[in-house]
Amino acid sequence: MQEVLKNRENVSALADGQLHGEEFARAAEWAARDADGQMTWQAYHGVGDLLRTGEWGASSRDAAFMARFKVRLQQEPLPSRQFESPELIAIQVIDAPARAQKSFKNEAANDATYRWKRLAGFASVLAVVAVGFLASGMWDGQRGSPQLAQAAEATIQPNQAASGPPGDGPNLMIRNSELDALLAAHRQFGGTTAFQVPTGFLRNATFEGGGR
Amino acid sequence: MPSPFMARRTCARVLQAGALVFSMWGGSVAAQTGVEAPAPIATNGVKTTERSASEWLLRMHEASRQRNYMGTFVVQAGGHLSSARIWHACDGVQQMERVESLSGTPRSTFRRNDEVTTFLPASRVAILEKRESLGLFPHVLQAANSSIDKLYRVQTSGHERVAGLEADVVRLRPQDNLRFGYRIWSERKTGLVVKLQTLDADGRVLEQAAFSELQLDAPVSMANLNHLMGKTEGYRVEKPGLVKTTSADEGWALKKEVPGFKSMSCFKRARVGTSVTAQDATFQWIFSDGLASVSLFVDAYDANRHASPGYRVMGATHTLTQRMGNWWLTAVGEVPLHTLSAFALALERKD
Repeated sequence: MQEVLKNRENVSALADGQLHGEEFARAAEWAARDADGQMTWQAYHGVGDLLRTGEWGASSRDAAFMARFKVRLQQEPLPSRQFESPELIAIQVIDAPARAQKSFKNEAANDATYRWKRLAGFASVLAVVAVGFLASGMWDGQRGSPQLAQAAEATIQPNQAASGPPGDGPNLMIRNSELDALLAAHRQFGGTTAFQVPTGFLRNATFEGGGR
Repeated sequence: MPSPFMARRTCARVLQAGALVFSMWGGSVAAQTGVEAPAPIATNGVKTTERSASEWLLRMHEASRQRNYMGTFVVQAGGHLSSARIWHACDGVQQMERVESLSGTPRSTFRRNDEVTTFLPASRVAILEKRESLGLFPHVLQAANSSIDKLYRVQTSGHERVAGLEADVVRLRPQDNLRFGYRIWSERKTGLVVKLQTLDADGRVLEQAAFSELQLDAPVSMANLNHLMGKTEGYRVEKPGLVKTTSADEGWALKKEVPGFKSMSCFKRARVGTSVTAQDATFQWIFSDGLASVSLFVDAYDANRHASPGYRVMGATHTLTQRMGNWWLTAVGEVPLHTLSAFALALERKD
């Protein structure tokens, strides 16, 4: 109980901008990861909403939205495999101009609010699901549009690419020790970038990737 | 619910609190608290820099080779947050770093140039590695025709405070959609990177790392770091089994180059519990465009270990697995999934 009160006190101090260094990091992590910490943090924002707008619960609308979003997402029918295959995606990738050029605003689109952080997990899952279905043609031997014929030369033969029982599609991978070992190997030797010395090494040594 | 005391305290100060915990991410405090965030010092909006992307990166690289500092480093990716205490020392010849994790599994990581030792106190294991990639740059950056300048366009806009320090804000925009963009906060006087974001094509932040607190020119003792790094008594010392090789020797090639990505090196890695000379050693082929890297891991296909193809996303790091005949490919990189697909399509066996 003492620890809970202490943690809440720390979040209070955090909101007041009074923490620094390790205390700051610990309080930030508790506020971000612990259910009680998140509730405490949101409660403070609720108070802020009330003071600013005279309305209680402006922030809690986010949570309500996410709850409705989850329910709707679960109810959505799974799309059939009518998307372009990864072969075509790869060709488009090489030829397509970057969409990244369209905006010259320096700010990240989602940098302005904390809301995106709560959506980040969902976005990652959605991205995985979406790309998974986009790529599902790789395991669908029935595919074969004229567009794909053009890309056939650069394509793994269907009998080579086939994997798992018929009808199986790509899955969201479950973390396992072998995958962890390969990710560690990528960080060890694959971090071959200009960022490696300024921040890459620190990033890789700091980030554990969701705990073990 | 928080105690009335805490609620009152927050009521009284919430308008000025500024949500410090998130301001380090560059987020708009105004959006959360109603307080208008201070305007950037530069008021003329976006302006063209005189430095190229590679010149900016070289400056950032050199800053970390010439200054001592200590601070707290925070990384957020894929909804996970990690933090560590950092000590960095250099003497013009050597660079040393100590990274003490504050979250997750307790671990201490030391670096002396390209030598890395990771201490895992819970298991009493010390892992000794040599990371070749730490020595590759800045040679690549110093090349007159740095490909980074062709692949990324640099744009600067004003400066902001991060961890109490004034920093130039530099945006590196990819010239195609095979790679992500970056937004970098570079300390004005030294060039040290104090914050880095990886952005997708729509400008969304996929991953970010920043100092929440940083003391430049801190009295960090290199002798002390050297002493601690070599203190492996009581630890079981492990060295990852791997040998350098070439793609041709291992029988692999790319049918078509993935634009901007160059082959950097190849290794054979021992799987857990096996020797690197074993038949089932993993082949790792590493590519980089200068800022993003991709590793292709190829194993002999094993139905017991390689059940189904899949994808995984963690912040900016994407992973793709798929079967290729008698082989199993795992592609990992800080690139979009379709870039990994392009590599998978280009990879071919040369028997």
